[in-house]
Amino acid sequence: MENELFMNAGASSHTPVMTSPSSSPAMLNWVSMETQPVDPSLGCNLFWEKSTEQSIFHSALSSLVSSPTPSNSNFSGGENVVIRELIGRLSNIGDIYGTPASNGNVSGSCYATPMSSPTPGRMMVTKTTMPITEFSGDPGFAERAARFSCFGSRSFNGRTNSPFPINNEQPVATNEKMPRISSSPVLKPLVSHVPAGESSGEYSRKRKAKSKQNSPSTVSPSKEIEEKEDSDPKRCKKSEDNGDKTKSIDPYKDYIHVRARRGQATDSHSLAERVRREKISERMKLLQDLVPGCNKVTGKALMLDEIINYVQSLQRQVEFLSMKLSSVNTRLDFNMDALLSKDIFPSSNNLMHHQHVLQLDSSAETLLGDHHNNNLRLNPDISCNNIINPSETSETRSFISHLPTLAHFTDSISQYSTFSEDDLTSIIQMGFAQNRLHELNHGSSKQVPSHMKAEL
Amino acid sequence: IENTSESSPESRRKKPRISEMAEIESRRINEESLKRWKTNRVQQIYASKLVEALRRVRQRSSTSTETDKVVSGAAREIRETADRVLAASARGTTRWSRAILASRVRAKLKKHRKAKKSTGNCKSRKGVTETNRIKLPAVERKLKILGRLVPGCRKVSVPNLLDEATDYIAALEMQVRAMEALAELLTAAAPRTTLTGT
Repeated sequence: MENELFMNAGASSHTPVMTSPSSSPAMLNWVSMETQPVDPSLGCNLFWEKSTEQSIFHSALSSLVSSPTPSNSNFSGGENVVIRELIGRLSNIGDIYGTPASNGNVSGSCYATPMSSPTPGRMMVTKTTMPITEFSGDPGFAERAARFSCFGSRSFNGRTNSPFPINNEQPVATNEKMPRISSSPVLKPLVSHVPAGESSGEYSRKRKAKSKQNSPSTVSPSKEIEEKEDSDPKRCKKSEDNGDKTKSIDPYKDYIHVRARRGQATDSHSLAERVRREKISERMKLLQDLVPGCNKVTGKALMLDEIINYVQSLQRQVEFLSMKLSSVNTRLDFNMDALLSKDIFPSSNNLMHHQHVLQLDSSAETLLGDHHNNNLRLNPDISCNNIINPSETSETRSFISHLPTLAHFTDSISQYSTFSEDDLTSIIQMGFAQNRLHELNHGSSKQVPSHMKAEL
Repeated sequence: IENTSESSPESRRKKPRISEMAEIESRRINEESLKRWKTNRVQQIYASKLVEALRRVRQRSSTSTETDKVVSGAAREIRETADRVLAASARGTTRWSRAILASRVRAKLKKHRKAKKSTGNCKSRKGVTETNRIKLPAVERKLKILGRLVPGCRKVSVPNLLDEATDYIAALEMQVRAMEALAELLTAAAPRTTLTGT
């Protein structure tokens, strides 16, 4: 359960980052940024001033380092989680530091200051590939790590070629940094499993049954890592030690490292509770955006009230509309089938419809004035707004664009009586196929008005 | 947006673990739901499918005698048809859509076994708003009500329920829009008898 905390702690902040299409070099920079602690001379101390982000950073790095150390294999699940959370953390940090406008901007802003190289993207990549190669000792790691950048855009597997062409250009630098990262040989299987594993950019949920067993063991080492903010060598060593603890975790289970945030309770129960609460509040926010009028209310109970009312009203509208449609259905001649089929499907009727629209406009508006009301009174706002949806295809354009005018036309029944049958015929004949309309009008005149009440 | 839509078929192909995939998908659907139900393409598809379904309903009902009762029965049928079409356009990614599509099978089976009592009960229960007798777990009570409103989500966990509700609301909005447009079109195209005479 605590595993999820790690993911969701940054969820609110990183979800916008994740959903926006992130350029792989941008995310790549973050991956490389993560490895910069290995080389403090790069001077990214900017990121280490704030403790929370620093701790996140540390914890992200340490988790990445720690998890692969114990196992040489069987890390399908855990690796994915670790990598994912790492990337999530990095994106989180990026979000914190950079402008949230785009990931590219974030990376640029992150790196401009310490790196003193203004160009984000490739330049950053080249500078930081060294630590990456040092870090992993695996040229493929950077590539796969860059692939994780696709978490942001969630096309995880589609970018096998995008990331690190520069990786191989840079020679592996000082080897003294290698021993610090003992997990490097393990990273390869770690990384290789990731594409096969969690293909989506989503952070995996915890398995309640399994992860609970793992949570105590995972949480405690992670907390230790978090709370001590040392330099890299110390951290790496520590992570090695902690890696032994994580070794006990079943690799097949995907768990999410949970990090207790600074100043918050580190009890496993409270961590789990926080994860759960954050998940729920996240969804409630989405619902709040969806349901109109929910912005004013605060609190789950009131919001749920609003949501329930809204769902009920929508369902009632559907019922009402279905009743209306049934009444229209029964009144329709079989001509209407052909008529509707022409309406829906693209054809030359588009032009006819437009003509029809024009005719109706000119004649109807003079008679009806502006009655936008009442026949179709479910929800005036919805009916007016939704009919005027911008259409993408030509058929919908004709289908829907003439609806507003028809809405004007059909708004008040009372004024229809002013139309004589001949007037209607003459108007409509201009738009529709003449034969069809003749039948229609003749048919309607012969119809027994049995369903008039359904209209009102 | 394009990236997310591209990734969804990819991720669906992978499927590391079923339950995990369900969660991941629900997450993704949650974030995409607003988009996918708002596109006009969806509305157009839904409207055309609805028209087809209505045509079939009309043909079926044309054989029977037209009475007032049939109107309400036809209304129910149309609503169910509309719901089914809506659920079909969800492509089985959400729980409520699967429940709607499955309920028809269930209703048919029950029809054979008993009278329509059971399906009638389900419907009546759905529309009833339960008064919160025990106000203490207010939020939980409301979550239960919400679970009853969203089809097939009575025993769903809270976060999943909220996900389903989000998608369901977006889908309902689209359904209302499409049905309104359709009704407008049909009522406009079918001149009423009041227009003639007087």
